[in-house]
Amino acid sequence: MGVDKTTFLERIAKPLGRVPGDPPSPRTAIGVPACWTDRPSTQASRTASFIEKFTGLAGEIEQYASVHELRAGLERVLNDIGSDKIGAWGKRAPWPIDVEDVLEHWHALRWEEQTDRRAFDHIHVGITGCSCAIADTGTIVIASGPQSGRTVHQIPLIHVVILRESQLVQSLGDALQRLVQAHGQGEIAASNHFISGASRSSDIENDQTIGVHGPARVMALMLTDLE
Amino acid sequence: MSTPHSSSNVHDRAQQALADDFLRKAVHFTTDRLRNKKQAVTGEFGNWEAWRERGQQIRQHTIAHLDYYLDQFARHLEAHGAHVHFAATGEEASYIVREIAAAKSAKRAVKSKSMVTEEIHLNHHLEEMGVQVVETDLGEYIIQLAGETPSHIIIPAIHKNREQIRDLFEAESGEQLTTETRDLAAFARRRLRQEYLTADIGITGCNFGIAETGSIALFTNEGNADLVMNMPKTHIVLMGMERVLPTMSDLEVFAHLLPKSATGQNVITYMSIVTGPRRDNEADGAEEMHVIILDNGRSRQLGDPDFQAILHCIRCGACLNVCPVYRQIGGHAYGSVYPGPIGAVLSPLLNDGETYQDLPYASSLCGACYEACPVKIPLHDMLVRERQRLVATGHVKPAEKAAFRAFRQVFGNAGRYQTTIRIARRLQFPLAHDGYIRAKIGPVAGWTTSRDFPALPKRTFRELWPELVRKGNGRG
Repeated sequence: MGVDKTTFLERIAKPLGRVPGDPPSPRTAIGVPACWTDRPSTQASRTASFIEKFTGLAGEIEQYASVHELRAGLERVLNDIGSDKIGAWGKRAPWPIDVEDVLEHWHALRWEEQTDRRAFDHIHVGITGCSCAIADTGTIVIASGPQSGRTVHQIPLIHVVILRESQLVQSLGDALQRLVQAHGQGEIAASNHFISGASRSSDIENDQTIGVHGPARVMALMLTDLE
Repeated sequence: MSTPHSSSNVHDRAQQALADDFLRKAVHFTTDRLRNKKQAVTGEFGNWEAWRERGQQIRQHTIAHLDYYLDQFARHLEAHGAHVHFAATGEEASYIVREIAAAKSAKRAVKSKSMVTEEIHLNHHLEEMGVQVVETDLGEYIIQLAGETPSHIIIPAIHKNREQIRDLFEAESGEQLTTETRDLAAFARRRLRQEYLTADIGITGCNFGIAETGSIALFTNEGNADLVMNMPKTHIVLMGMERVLPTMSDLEVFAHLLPKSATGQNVITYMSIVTGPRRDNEADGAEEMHVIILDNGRSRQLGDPDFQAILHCIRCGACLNVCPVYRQIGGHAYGSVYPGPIGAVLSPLLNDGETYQDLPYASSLCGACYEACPVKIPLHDMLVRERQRLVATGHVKPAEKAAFRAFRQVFGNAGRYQTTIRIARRLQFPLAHDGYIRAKIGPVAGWTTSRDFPALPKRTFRELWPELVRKGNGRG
């Protein structure tokens, strides 16, 4: 049951006075208005905006000047959390920074191509990298892949994300254009997840609560790798 | 599913809602909160009118070339391995879902909030064939347990208090729970996590389909849609055919307009952009993805200069929060899946027959809905045009018709008008007290039971005028 595509599209085209398949008329307006694209943007302003927006969404961020310090920071964060139920992307995932020694030390369960998703059901902390992060909105962007399963950051109560300052882009549009480029190269990920703070709901008498389905706590450990 | 107000017309349902103090307080509080947050966030964001204008331009262009963008969207989706289906009616869409469920021998389905699935009563159709459907949005889960329908597009359980929610959860689980929000939410997390793990099918709506890449964009604050689409082996997307956008650049505009208008958030907590099922080398994500594109009365609005713009709607619910009628009566009084001003326009357009024909009258025509709409849909004009069409097609009560004929005759002639006013002034005598008419019965009672109706003064302006002129001349 259902109708075929041709019939369906003809029913739409006819009242619009169009011939199916004809290209659209030239567009006068695409994407955001000029007031948004004309804004000045520097690396310093991007970093400041990301930190402000991310923490404004109850995200926790720590900055480190060196890879060594970041690894020590991750070690400390895991100690403070005090859970040994840790999951992380696989070794060959697109990690922005190598934190293998810390993950090995904590015997983190790793996501691989053949991973049984159910093994991650009881994970308390998920550690991932990210594709980029957005300064305007404090958003982390994560693309799915063979070594970077979606389950790693969607299932646990705590999500720890590792990133470099140089991964910050200014706008949502900047991040979305990367998807368009990936699509053009036949490499767009099946899932691109844009995460802005912790899972939240106000469905019970407008009283906001966190951690309804996704993580209740999102922490970013950022390497300040720019001058 | 039922609504707490099951009367057959909007007037009676509104009366029931007006008698429900908790509902009225909850609706006032929620709509005030959402409206104030929107005002604050759009003020801080700046240039809001430029964003609205851009949103309108993009939607206008997309709908005017909808066949082209839907074709592009479907081709890209298929290239990424998704199955695309086209359904002319709600029955066809439900049939396609049932076919998929039967092919998968599905017993359980999880679902994230989707107005279009409510529109086609999908849960009912699946349950009829023995598939248990569990809503995973916290608000939807609450009203599903209550056996009711959503009362707000964005916050569906607006009419339930925490004690009622605790009772529903306790009845479902046999557990003892407190009324603390944190405890109730934690229960829902535990309970629904089990549902995700055991479901055969995940069903979502679609906030936007991106033609340029063949992607589905889904917005949630809870993160439930992400689990619904990723954990079961089969993901079914139901989308109204108008939900497409040409490019990712356009999505950026709506990723700002939608959360700011809906809940006053600068950004939605989770935006998932899904482009086909899991790849061969991935261990999670749905193995199979079906996208069902639904017409169900939408194509009837295409080419209609009065109503084509209704397809620009992005289902943010901002028009509900500012509507003086919705704010008094809440969502169930509309008796349709889509409440508020958008529902009053959309429901009669999507559905033939008499069922929703009283909804265009559930409006004060103040235009606040237009001012709130992020894509500038002239809902108040549409409500007037729907009323005009109802009158033109004879859908009007004989008494109302007679009243307007009499009105035309009286007001169309000065002599008749003066005579009528003189007679009315005498006839109002038994009902007029302290300058107001207070009728308990009769045709005027419908107005005077809840509003003032000033009595006719002892002397009309025409009668006063000669005296006023004399006084004026005396001063001069």
